[in-house]
Amino acid sequence: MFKIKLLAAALAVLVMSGSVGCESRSDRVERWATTENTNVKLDWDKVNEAYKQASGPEDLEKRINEIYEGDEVISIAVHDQGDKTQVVTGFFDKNSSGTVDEGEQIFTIKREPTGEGTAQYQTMGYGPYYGYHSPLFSIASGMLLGSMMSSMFAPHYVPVYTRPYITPSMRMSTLHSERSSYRAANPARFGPQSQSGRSYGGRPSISRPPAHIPSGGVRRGGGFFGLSRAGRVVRPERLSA
Amino acid sequence: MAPLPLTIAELPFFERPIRELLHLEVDRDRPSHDFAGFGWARADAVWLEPAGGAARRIDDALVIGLHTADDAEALADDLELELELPDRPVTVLASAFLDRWLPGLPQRSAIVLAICNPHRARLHRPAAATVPVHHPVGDVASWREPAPGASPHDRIILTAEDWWTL
Repeated sequence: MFKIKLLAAALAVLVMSGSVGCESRSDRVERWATTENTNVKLDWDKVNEAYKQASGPEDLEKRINEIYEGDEVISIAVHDQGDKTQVVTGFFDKNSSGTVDEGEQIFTIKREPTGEGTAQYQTMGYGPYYGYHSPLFSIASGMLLGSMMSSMFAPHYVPVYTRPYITPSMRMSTLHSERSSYRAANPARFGPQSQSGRSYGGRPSISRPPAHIPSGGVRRGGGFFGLSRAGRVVRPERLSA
Repeated sequence: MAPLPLTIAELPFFERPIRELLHLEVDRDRPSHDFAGFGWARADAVWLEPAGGAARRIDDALVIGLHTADDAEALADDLELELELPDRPVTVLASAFLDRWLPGLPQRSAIVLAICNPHRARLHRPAAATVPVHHPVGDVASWREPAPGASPHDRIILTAEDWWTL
């Protein structure tokens, strides 16, 4: 449902502005070709923190592309829904359509109010990052937050992105060049050995000691088939039929 | 907006490539605790490895990947599964889930349940099962490692405290 709304809203933007829609197809595909690399780690802790600290969509997409260590540029769509809910979608705009098309989505971050002056957000992975599911992060007014998030606690909050913000295709080359500069300035992390499709290290996601982890250096980890949910107040609905 | 009512049959339980189902598509040193994906997959072979024991090869397996939460109800002969849906989590007993879904899944030579079993429940054999069913004791994690010999494919390994066969 969200996707349909997003697509409809994005189409409305195109129709109303005309600027993106008037670009030639060939111009757009030449700007930035994706490699569809699906073997690059995404540091979810940093992604979650980036959303918390971002000053706005453009700042967020810049931060996320600095976190991402592959060749592609990640586009984002920011959609404000009713009651201060906001959904950020990260995607590889493989066809340069400026919309979130089938198979392009890589994550969503959903922010929802939970009470007066409080909210929570949660990140989920899709496509190559299918299966990632962050904890629910609680936020509150008075916390050190970027204005993208803190604005929801303003007394006269007005949602800005009821018509979604989507990374303009003309911004892709800017993001790419900014990220190249960032990587050049951080050779320890982005050394010459780094190539698309390889692992770049990063913190293993371990939050509790596993019952059985075999020794040996050649094994690569997948996932655990248990969920850390202890301490939650409300238990999920149980389906019986 | 209140979430729509849902039945077990309506859960989005789909076939996935085995590496995707077991979260093996991204290179990492250790299994991730953030993984919540679920579904089923056909596997030419998987190795079931108990703690301190030798891995056992299971050929032509139907692998069912699901999750239990660490606050799930402790049951002697069943598991309270938890599925993270886009709009909310739901739970369902493994026995009810398998009764509903197993008859519609493809027949293979074995069924492997990749589901954490923290309370060491001894599951009953699902009525629809016509082949050996392997289920774990304790937490389950997935791994891959280069296969010995000439095979170009990684071995896929599921580790647990122990593996029981029904």
